[in-house]
Amino acid sequence: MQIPRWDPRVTVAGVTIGLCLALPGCTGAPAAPTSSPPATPGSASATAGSAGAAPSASSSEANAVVIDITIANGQVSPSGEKLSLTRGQKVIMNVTSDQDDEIHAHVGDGYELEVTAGKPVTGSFVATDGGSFEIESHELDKIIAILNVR
Amino acid sequence: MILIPLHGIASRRELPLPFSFVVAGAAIALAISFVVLVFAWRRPRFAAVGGLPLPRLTAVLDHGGVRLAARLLVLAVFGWAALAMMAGQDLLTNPIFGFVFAWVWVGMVPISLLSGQFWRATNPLRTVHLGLCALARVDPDHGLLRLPPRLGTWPAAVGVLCFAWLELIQPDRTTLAVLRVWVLGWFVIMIIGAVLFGRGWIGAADPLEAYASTVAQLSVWRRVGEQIRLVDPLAGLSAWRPPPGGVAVIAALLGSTAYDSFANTTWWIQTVQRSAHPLVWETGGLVMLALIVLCSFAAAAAWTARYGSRGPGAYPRLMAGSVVPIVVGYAIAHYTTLLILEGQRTAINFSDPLGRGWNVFGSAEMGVNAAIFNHPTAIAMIQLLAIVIGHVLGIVVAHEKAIQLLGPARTAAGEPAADSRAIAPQLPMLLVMIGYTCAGLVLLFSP
Repeated sequence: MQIPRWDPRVTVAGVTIGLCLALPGCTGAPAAPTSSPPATPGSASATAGSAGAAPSASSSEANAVVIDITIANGQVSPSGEKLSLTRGQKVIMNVTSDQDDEIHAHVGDGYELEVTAGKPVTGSFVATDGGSFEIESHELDKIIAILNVR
Repeated sequence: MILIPLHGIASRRELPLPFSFVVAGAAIALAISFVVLVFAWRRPRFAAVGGLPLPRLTAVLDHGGVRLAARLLVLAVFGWAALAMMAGQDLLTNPIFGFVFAWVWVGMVPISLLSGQFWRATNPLRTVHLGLCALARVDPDHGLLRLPPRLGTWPAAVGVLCFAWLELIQPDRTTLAVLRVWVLGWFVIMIIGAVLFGRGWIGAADPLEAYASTVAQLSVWRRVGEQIRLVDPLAGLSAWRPPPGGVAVIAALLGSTAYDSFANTTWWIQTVQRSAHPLVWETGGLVMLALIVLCSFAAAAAWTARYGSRGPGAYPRLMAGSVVPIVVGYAIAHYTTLLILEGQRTAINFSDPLGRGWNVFGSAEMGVNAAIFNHPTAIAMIQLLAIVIGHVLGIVVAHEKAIQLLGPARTAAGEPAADSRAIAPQLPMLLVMIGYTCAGLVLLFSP
């Protein structure tokens, strides 16, 4: 029976790893959101104050995220866009479509918005839970946006 | 109401890895890699597996009654899931979806890490085949034909890619009609193959067994000869020499996990959704990532041949153990939240496979505890640790294998050579592994 001996240098290296790993957790920096509030002008916009807003029970219209969704010729716009949200923030979707569809948002128990061809419709929900969720067109099986709720 | 998510069973995923974590992880991986390369040992440390022999444990686990009980238990669990699949409701509350994608596929990682070759010992395919052979009074080892030894686990590598295709690409994969075709296809191909070729076919072709056996190499339990030993996982990995196709299985595993993240990037989603043939793009992307892993690893391992006595084709399999920790680290980083969330949901639904309000195991009334999602920094830390620890174990094994296979570098006079010669054979492999790790971190950042 032969148990391999461990090189002390490896132990030193191990301690170094431990310290290095502890760093990002302790310096406080990493918790900051990595991407600025919704990008791509025109497709999605956040009204003032949404960026650093603390999660609050009262999700006022003031810091809601507005997504203008267009469904045309079998394509969705925005398409697979990532949006950063804070917990408790409201999401308002303005949808225009050239076909009947259902918009699904996989937040909470699920949110559905019926869309009729040629009739603009608006729907909203509150992103109460943290995590990453998809908004998709059910008929087209296409991802419109991915909500990263912190 | 539960809306069926477009992509897999999980409607709620973890947040992207914060960019500061990506940078920290990459920096740590890079620094430690070169510390190991330059300062680590120059003579093999794990030339023998060593470890602590466990004769009593071996005797208990090899006891016929214990084996049979374990086999029947696992078979019963799979039979219960099959009942849900064949007779249950076509809703996401049917436990079969979580059973296949979370319990079995993802759960295989912790089970194999903690209990070694548990799956091989209890694989329900083997149990069914054994039962059939007992009924027909034939030897389970021998079929009508012989498997060519060079085939190795290549069929299983294809099987892993097929599973990944089902998990990540197959449209309507969370409907019973689709899942039944795949599961029954798997079952029929495995059993007919085992009848034709003997039970060696299951080891060669079952993607689940190939996955489990690969991960089990990192466990502390290892059978050496007839006896189970408690070993240093690094020594176990160094001793592992997979069958032909073992590297392809690893490439399929790593490539498909990477594709799961890659497919979530905005660029890829837009590319696929704009295309008229999304399935072609997605399939191409999955196969391409697996091929990139296969070719880069094989090339880096073959480079070693310039300094050794074997042909270049021999090295990829000899060095395969060094990527296993990276595969496992990737899997933990990608699937921990899925296993926690969907694992619980499956446990709850498992009490009521037919959707008739049963509560067979008393779990039907339990709720899903999703508290982990309120700690995004903890999730990010688990992901970072899994990837970085996997990387470090990987390069340690790669270093050990390189000096085992090449011997300490010597000058013409027989003196130990200067460091530069010992480093050169290992450099390509080190760079490839750093590449895997950084790619994994960037994909978790999910741009």
